[in-house]
Amino acid sequence: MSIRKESLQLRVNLRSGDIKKEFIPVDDIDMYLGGRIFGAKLLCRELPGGIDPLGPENKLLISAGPLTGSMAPFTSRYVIQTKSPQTGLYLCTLSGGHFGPALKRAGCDMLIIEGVSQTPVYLLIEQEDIKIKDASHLWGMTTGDTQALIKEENKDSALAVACIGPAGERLVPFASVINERRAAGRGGAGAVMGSKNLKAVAVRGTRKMDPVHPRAFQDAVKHIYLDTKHNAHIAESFRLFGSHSAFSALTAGGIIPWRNWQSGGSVNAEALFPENWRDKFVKKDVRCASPCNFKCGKVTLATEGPHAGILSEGPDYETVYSFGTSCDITDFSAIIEADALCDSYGLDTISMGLSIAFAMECFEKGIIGKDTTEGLELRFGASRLLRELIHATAYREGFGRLLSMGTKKMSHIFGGGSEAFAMQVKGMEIGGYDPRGAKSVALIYACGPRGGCHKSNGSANAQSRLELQSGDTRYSNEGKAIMTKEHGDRRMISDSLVFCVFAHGAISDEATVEALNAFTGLDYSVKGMYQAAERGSTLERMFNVREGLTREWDTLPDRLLYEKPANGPNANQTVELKTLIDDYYQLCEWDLKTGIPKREKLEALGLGWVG
Amino acid sequence: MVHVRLYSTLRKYGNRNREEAPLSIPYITGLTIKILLAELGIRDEGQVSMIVVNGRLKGQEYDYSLRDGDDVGLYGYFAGG
Repeated sequence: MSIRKESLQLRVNLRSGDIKKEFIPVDDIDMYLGGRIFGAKLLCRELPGGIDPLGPENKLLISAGPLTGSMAPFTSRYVIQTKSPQTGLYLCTLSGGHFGPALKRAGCDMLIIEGVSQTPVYLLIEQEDIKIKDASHLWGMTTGDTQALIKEENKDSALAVACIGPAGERLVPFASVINERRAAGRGGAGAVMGSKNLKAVAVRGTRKMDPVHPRAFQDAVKHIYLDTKHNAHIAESFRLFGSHSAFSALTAGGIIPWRNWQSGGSVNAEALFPENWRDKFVKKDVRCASPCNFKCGKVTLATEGPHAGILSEGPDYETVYSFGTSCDITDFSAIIEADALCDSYGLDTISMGLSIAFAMECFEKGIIGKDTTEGLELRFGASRLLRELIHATAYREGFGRLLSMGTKKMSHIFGGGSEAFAMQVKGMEIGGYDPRGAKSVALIYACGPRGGCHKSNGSANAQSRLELQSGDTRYSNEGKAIMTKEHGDRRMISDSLVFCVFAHGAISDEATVEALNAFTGLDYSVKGMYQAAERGSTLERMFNVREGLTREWDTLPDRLLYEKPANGPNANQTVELKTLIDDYYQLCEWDLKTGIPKREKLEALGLGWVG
Repeated sequence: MVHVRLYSTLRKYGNRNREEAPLSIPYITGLTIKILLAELGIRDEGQVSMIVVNGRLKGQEYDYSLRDGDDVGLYGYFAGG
């Protein structure tokens, strides 16, 4: 029997306690693949426009992809989708680890969580069934303690648990969901869980997953391994430096922003090069789950100063950008602690670090004073303040009440021209790649479906690499829309199957589709996969159009449009967005004036129902 | 002399104990990046993803002619997120 006929979605209503087991129609899998694309379709179908992201009408989707739980390498990921409390728009956020495979092996492809529980609960999922369990005693706990206690009280150390910490309970709009030491970090899915009084989802996955075509699947796995083995960019650099491997090259290109994006470099940058800190701080290279031979996870130990003894899995590149370069902090031990605290409280490290960096600039410019920061001397480089600021944000205490709002809302409150350097798009703080030095990255931030994310609409890292290698053409707008669209479509496929986005950069389309078909018995072509990807991006766009999105919303902070970096190789550069967006809309077949997908496009993709 | 810094996966070709200081390679007439790589023991030029000379990005111009006193940055494989 083919897997496609067994695809199940479990639906739980936390208010009524109703649980439904529903088969996913085969037509849906043929059109929407799974994971991110299928979830985008469900969100468009099931959420009315204009609802409160933290209200009872919002739903939380947690899904595994068609390849999750298989023995295909690099597929141990899951997807969370909902309406974001940070942006008021579409959100998808992913994480690696054991949770995705466990969900699939518990018989669940898609979990739909509805309503609000009156008291704190957690879900226990096994053998296609859900139990709603009391979580009163877990409320208030950090993410590490929550996972440990749920495993202990269920007498099962192999349970996979995704949970929220104090930040999610307090509805911080950039609260994350944590499983093991990995995060579905962006956009505030943790706050949506908190609003539902849902502390955790625990999964016991025991079902064996056999491929529909075993021999073909074996071949596909071999091809995936060969592809990744032959891509030294990924194979060699990830093993050594994980997500950081481009740090030194990006620094040479002025791509890494410093001091809240005022500068394109720093004389102290080398302190944050992984080549320089690996030997001192990395205690172990770890994979989020098997099978994976890259081990991009770096377990680091702070070894000196007030942070000595703190251990984290990470920080990843983006966290070194947010707490390090953005706050002008080069004390790596302080960054390790900031990373560990964010994971423990359940906070997105990018939005947290950027919110602090923004407040530092406001303080240094005299836009806010000690009366606002509650006595804190909030200057760039103040590494000793990170611990207190992160704690205050998670618990929404003192100055943390303001930080927890994120840069967009803070800039509205602080005024004084600070909107220009609130480094966010649509309310989401942007990732650590400066589009003034790699113009295609501007489109990733400006037109991305979840706001200023650096990967949901392309790959800021891969695109920056291509741009840096091409020399000065990186300053041109020509050809940048197609580059972003191609990377965006690939990302959509990767997030739907679900592949690790790092590894999938090395895996050919042919090996990808070969694995998909052999494992599931589906009959996708490469072209069919890309068509499904376009369905995904179009649905995400339409979700946001329903929330009022127009072309004017697809923009960047003024700092990137009108201000040149104070130093670094891109010191004469700004972003000229109009032609980039014109080109991109044309490729996507979105109306040039409104930014809305054209009716013909919707019809051609079989999405007439959404417009 | 030409001053060379090695980054990312190329670090192994330098002196690990002096990793933050540049390596000094004697200048010879006609020195190109390609010849420099051979001098450093980097046999496969494909390992060099990006070349920077005196702060200017040179992509993968392995035939680039160096001058006496140049500062050269050689970057190995890089990816990330």
